[in-house]
Amino acid sequence: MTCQEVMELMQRQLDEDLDERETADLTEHIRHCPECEAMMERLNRLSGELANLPKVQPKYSLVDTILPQLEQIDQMREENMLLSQASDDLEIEQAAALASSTSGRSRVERRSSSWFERRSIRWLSGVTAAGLVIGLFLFTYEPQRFGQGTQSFVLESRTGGSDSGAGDEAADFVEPYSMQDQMGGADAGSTADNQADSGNETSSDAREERSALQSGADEDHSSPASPAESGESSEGSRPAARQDIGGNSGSVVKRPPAAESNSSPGNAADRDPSGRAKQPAAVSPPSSSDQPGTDSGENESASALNNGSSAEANGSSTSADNGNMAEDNTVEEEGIYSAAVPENDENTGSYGNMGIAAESSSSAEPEQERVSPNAVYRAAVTDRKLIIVEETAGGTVFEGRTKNGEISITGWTADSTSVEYEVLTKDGTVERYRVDINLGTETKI
Amino acid sequence: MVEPGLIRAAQLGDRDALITLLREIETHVYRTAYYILGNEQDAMDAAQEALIRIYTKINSYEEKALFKTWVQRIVTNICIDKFRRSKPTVSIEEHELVFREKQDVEEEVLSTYAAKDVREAIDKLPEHHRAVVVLRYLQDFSYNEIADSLDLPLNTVKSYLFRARQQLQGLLQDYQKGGVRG
Repeated sequence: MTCQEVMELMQRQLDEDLDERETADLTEHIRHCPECEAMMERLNRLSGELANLPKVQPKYSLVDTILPQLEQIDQMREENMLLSQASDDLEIEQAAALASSTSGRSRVERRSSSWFERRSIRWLSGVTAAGLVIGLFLFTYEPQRFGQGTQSFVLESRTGGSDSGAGDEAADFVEPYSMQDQMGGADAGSTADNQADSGNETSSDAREERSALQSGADEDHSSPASPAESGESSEGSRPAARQDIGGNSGSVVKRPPAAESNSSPGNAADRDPSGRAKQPAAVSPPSSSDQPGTDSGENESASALNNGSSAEANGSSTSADNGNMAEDNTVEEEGIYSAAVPENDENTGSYGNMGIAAESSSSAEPEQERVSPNAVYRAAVTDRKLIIVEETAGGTVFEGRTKNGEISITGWTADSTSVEYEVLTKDGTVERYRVDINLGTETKI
Repeated sequence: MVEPGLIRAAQLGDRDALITLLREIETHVYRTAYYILGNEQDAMDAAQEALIRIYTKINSYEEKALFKTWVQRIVTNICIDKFRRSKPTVSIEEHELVFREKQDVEEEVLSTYAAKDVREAIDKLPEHHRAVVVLRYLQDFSYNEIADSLDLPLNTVKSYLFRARQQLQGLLQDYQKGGVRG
């Protein structure tokens, strides 16, 4: 047996891992090998020393020290539970009145806005296509058939609009949308005159169509219910977005009403009583029936635009406030609503605010303050410390150690559990830290 | 170490049980942290972090593992992370140790090593060797329990432990001589 092999036996002997035969072998070897005997002795002593190392104890109770943090964790868990419940509910019934908490709302909002984006792109292309078709049919159909065509349009749009306005599942939108889309194409011929507008104005269609549409949605709401009610619901954040989208999907259909008021005032009159007198959007159409088609279209869309934008404003202001999806919303806004002029409407008020908020959060936001993706926390730098507060309650969740340099917040992780920041020290080095919200710790990375 | 009933109660949401459980293990958690990190302040930080993690993750503990090895796994992971961050390149050259331990075989030092020397020697071990030694001697863990805690194969545990002891006795012998020579 070599000394190397004996070394392993010696080691295992320290851990009482030898059987009788191995112990005998070891003893035998050591008896004849002073080197190994010495080593054995040193190892035994070392092992004894290690086993007798002071059984250190913390100077004070660690559990007592962390109790406040544990309570915070419990609180956060409760909140998260509420949040997830809230968003589950929303997922199940989209029309459910409102998220009781901010981030539940923002989460849903984000979904709906990205959904909306996707839809709006398809919608735009649909509009363009419809415009082309309309252009082709422009002079080939008899104007007098128009009335009938429009009639069916109106009906269609009402069903579509009220469906979506009621906040049904997204799937519901798709159907009316495609159906209407087809109808828009097919019936375009019959509405020759007024469709000329849309044919020529394909480029600006996005806005106008949309707004006309929106006014359609408003009307739809105002007929079964009062306009005030529809206003309220649009302010209510979640259904607002839905309603908006619903309005969208009906867009192709809704365009005709502008024309309709031209050529067959009778039809327009049918619709008017429902809500026009009560809503800004409703004001223009009666006058528009006296005016040339183009004008009436513009008027209606202009006023409707406000409605549309205000409805949208609710959607985006929610998320802008939360710092969520700020960019997305901004893009959306600029693309579609840039022309919206805030009026004395209470909704437009929120729109105006939102515009500012979205802008500041997407471009000129100072690095010293960041809101977490789930919009629950805000990280800020104060006195060379990183502080994290709850966005809604305002309580301080975390306070970092004072740093010897300039702090710039790098950002939140997508799951909102930690935030990273950099410290530019006086000697020019950059230190990076990560704060874990759940643990309440900050660590250098 | 900890009653299974207490763990189960804690997992079922009994907050008091969970706090009691944390109180029962805090010394063990701290001790490991202290000997791996080598100083009180870091040990306090790491032990608190570990306790918080245990508090939040208690439901991820499954009874097929020993609770004490699960706890020690959490502490050692935190300590090793901390250790890597604060002391990125502390590791001794092994050939140097081998060389040292072979010299002066006859020079036996009869006095026992001071505990302080032992602690300093432990501080010079590579992180995993250190963790193995701490679990073996401060937590009285078996090879298997160490393997579970550190998520290492049994043979690796043995080889780390054996090498660590060899290194330690070499280092201590060195200290001793240094002490003798003034």
